[in-house]
Amino acid sequence: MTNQAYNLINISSATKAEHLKSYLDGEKEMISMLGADTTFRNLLSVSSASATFKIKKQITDDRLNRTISSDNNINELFLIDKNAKVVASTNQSHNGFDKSTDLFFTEGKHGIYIKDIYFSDITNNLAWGLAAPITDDITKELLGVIVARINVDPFFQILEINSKLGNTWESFLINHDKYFLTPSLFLGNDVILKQKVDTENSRNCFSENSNIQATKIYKDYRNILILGTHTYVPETGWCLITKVDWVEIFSPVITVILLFIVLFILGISIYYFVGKYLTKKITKPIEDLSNGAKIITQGNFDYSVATDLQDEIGQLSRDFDKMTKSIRNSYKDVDRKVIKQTQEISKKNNDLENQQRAILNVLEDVGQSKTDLEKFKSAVEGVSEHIVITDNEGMILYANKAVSKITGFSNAEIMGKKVGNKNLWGGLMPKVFYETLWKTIKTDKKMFSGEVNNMRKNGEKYVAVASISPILDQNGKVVFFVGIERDVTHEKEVDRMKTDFISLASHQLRTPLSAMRWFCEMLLEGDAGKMTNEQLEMVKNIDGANMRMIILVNSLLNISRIESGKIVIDPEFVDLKKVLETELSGLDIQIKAKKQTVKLLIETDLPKIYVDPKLIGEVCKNLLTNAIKYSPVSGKIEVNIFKKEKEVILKLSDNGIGIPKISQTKIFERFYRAENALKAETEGTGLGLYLVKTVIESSGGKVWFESVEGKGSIFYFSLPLDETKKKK
Amino acid sequence: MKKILIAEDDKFLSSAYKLKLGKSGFEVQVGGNGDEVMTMLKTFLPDLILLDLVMPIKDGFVTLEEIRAIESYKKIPILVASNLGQKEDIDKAMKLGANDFVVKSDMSLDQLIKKINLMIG
Repeated sequence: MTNQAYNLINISSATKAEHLKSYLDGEKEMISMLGADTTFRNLLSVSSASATFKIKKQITDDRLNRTISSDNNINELFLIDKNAKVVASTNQSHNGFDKSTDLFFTEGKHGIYIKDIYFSDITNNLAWGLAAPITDDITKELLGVIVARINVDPFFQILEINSKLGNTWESFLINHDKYFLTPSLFLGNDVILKQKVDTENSRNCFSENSNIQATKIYKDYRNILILGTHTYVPETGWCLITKVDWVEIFSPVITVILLFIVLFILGISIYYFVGKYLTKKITKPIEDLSNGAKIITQGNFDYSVATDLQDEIGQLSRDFDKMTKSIRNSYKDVDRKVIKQTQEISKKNNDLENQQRAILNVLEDVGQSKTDLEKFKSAVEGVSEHIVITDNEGMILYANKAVSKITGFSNAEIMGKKVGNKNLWGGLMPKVFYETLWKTIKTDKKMFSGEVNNMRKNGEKYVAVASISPILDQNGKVVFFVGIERDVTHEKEVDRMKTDFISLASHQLRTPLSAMRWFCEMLLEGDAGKMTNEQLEMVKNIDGANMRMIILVNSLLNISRIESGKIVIDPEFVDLKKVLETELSGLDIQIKAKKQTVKLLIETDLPKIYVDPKLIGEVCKNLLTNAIKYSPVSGKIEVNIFKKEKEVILKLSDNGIGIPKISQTKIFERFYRAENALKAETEGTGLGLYLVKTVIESSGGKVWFESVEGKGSIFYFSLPLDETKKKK
Repeated sequence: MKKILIAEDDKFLSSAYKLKLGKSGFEVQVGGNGDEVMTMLKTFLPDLILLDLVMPIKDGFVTLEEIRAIESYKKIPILVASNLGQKEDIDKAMKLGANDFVVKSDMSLDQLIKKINLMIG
């Protein structure tokens, strides 16, 4: 829109300038033609005294009058002779005037001259004029000057051409002295030659600087913001100024703005008048709510804001009340908690103060508050934990009965001695241990806890869990240390025994099982002579049952150790292919017995995995055993091992009995056996898959399966390629 | 005839050993604990010692340590055959100088004999 305005004013200005120029050219043409007219030349070439003068003057007058009558705009035409005297004029009274100082004459002698618009005393009106020299057509000698005084109306008309563009469109001319030459739209004709137009663009118009952008927004002679442009008229040395009020040219924008203002004012009025009415209906309840909220935030949760209004506001107020109620309740809850905590803290503080006082009483043997002292003494004395209080240098100031009981040193031997000393129960730990201990409690003023190896007076070593804390005074200075130790030797022993029991029990069970296994073996191989088929069958049964027992013990052992965290998962880089092949070769007899085929599809260049080879061997064995056991004679088993992203995956498929849907979620549970598995094979511990899952998951892998009852199963496990958990 | 000295406190197992290994062409002597084995070694220098770990009076670990401490016994292959089978046990035995380790209940006698033959064959 702005561009349009600029274009419009530029076009308007250019049109006027063009018009002006052609008009001036036409007038110049006219005067030069008159200047070359032989009639005038004839008159001027004779003396006024000559006989032919009168006739020639008559012819000239006639000619002048005809010319003037053909052009309404020419006010007067007159001839000045070379002596600057008016010799002929359309205005008879003008004859004989001396024009020696007139610019028409002085300038017109040399060529076509255009006289600025001026106020003519003769016509008592505004005028402008042109003058042209008249010369002898042969000698080119000056004979005189012809002058046309012209009406200014054509200028006015030219400048008014565009006035239809709008109300404030205006074009005017100023002369070199910046005076109005044409009327002002706003100030009328009176300004002409009387008022100066000293504005930014009037100055720019006469400036020699051609780089100045003509069209711009500036303030005009009325000091009003306009969009204007200027064009210099070289023929006359005038300046054409074309302009429009900014308000008008940008009126579409203004309209919108005005519309907004109107709407805004209208809105305020509506708001004011309608609002007054609505206040009671809407604002009032909201204000009530708002005020209520303020009251409530200040802590008064019993304040109610509910109204019986049946509208949304009413509902809001009731909801608000509900909210307040729940806040009130939770606040009360918090209150209760805070009160309780505060009570506990103050109780603890009291306890602590009592304790401190008691300690001081003990130390200084002051008889005050004997009850406290007694309480403290009986409490501290009676506990089974060894409690020692030292000064800030570690000198023992107090030791309870348990200390003597545990260490074997008498109270007299203990008092006044330094702790952590070989003369007493301590000093057996490496130097670093004691350094850390003292730094923690003395420098950092924090509690230290840890396991300490100590020695009783009789030389017996024992293990204690110790916690030692500094007691600070009001200035944060360490006053005492309190050390509490518990003899955990027995607990440690029990723990160790528990671990030992597992391996011992397994050993005890395995020994008779080994004997049975071996004797069965010898019998079956005929080492004790040939048996009847019936006898052979019986021994086979004994052997089978015995083997089950061995597997059960092994499984139980593995599981109990994994579950108790006692098993050592000892990972190393393992070639899964080798592990699988080893386990397969161990199962060769069973596979051959059932005439099954095992197909191996193992990716070449398989990276090694970081797992416990023995446990992964167990996993492979359990899965393979299941596949063999639950697949029919001549069954097909297939094992794939491949790498996928950052895992190695083992996939084991069989065409066995499959897992019933109902059992699929329970298959990894301990001791669980699927119904069809129980029917198909009485042997089985229900621990195989449980072990598989436990081992794979503790190695950072996953185990899963796909199975259709009666068709077969596919078991998968994945193991991460990066290092799994280190020793547990 | 290859000589095998066996340390085994369980009478059923030692009986099985004697029967099977004897039949398989080994000259076998069995001691019921570490002490007995140490004494027997003075008169019966075997090609292989089959050593149990859990035994009364002197267990297999101590016996192993003692055998390997004597210069003339240092090179006798020792196969530990125990029903202890945890990694700690195996590692400990191997560290003390055992040449191999088997869990008895996980082995058939045939497999055991194959192993012995591999070690001294």
